Amino acid sequence: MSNVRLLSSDNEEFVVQKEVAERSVLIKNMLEDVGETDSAIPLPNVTAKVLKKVIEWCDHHSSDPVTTDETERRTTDIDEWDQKFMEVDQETLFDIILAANYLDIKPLLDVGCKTVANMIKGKTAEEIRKIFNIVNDFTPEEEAQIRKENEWAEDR
Amino acid sequence: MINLGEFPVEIISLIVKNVDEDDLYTCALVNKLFYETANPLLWQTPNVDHESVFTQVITGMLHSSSQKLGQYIQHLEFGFPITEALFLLFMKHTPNVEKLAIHIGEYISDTTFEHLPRLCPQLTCIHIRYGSITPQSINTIAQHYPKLEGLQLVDCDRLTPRGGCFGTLFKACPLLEELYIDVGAMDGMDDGYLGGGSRLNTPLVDQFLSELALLKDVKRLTFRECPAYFSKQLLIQISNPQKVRWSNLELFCLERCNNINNKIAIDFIKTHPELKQLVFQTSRFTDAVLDAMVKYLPGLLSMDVSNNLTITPKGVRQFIRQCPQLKCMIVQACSLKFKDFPEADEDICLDEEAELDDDDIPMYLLQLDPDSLDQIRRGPRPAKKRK
Repeated sequence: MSNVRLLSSDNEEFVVQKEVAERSVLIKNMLEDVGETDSAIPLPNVTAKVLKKVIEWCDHHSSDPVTTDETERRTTDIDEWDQKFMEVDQETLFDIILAANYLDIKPLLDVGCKTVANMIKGKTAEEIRKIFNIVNDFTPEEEAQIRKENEWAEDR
Repeated sequence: MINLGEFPVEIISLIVKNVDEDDLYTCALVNKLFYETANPLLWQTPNVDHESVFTQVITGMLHSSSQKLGQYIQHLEFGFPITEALFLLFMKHTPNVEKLAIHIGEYISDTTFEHLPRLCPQLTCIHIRYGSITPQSINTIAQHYPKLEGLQLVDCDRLTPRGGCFGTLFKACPLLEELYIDVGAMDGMDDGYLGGGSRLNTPLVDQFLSELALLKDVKRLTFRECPAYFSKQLLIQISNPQKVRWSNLELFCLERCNNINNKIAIDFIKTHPELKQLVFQTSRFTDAVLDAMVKYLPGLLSMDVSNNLTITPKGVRQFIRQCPQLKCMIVQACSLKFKDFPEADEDICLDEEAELDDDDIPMYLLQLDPDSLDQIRRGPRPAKKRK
């Protein structure tokens, strides 16, 4: 089985099996375009720390069937291994999500977003802003307007 | 430090799509980016269970700066008796509704369906209970909703198969995969089982049966209060191995099965291997049918055999052990004694009013929940007979 070399933004090299690396649609397409190559693939948006985590995930899921199922399912179920995998500090979690988005690894992106969605569960808007460092860009009038608009949903 | 507020909009949208419905209201208040994704999702399914909430929904739509709120609505479920005029006025603003349920439809008449195709052309599922609609509405639905996937007509007693409206519907809607009909409530289809004398029109039943044969590839079928003659003829008709049309049937409910013997039931089970939920009420078949279910229905998840007096505790236990995937079994009025199922959870499996202390009156099982079923599967096997 052939290997692929990946280079992180901070110049650390990782050697991974081709089928593991190809969980990333970005890398898969690159390999198809370039063909057999000895040089390392540069990933300027991913640090070594995050790339290591991403490779760990790809390795564990390397034999998963590739799903093209685009149905939107609003399920927050995450399998046990993934749940453990996502038990990281918030910054790493966000980094993994951004890396999954950049590398085009849809199932990892889904797991990351579901993890964040679970963190939102039962929180108030103010608490959500605080946890994720989000600025409230509504004027008081706009906020009152939305509350009026969605009053029917307030207690559901 | 990365802030979630700086994430690309696609990622925020993916996160919001994964939050619980209950949290969408809060998400819409976080910031503008969250609002853009959460609000359309929140408005997909406004809850109009009660009139007071409906008033709030209308107020929200009137207060909104955008005219779009109504356009976001895809599912509507009315839980209160809405007048036809108000209903039609409201539906004018919800052109994208796909699923519509009206649970107390006493004011909903054929007028509704004269206008609805123009207001909401994308309906795929229609559920009406206590509606005052006549066969004319069924013809209108057939004419305007060729993509119809689900139709539930509950307690709509002005409906009748006379005139062949259902045949027209089934021909016009090849995608129909869910059908729920109160057969016995329809004019000419009542065999007097519930009192009030028989008004069963056998040729009409036969005509309705031949119309049902036009249904293409239906997955969920519920026939309530059906005349026993209908149930028997239907099962015979759809179990002919040369003519099986609904081999993908997943849910099947037949409420009156008095005339269905073991052979008819087993032939049906053999020819419908995809069944997951099965309701055979008031049947007279025996444990042999349970054995057939074990053999031919590997995906059976729930079963209701209420009012069957011929299945035995032994047969039921054996059935449960051999159906490890079964999650629920309803056995109301089956004369199955609680003492024969000591593994059953008395809080769930017995009638609330039953008193456990009373020794004179035997306690009868209502149902078996997942835990009780598991307990029965784990329990000791019956002792072998001594030689």
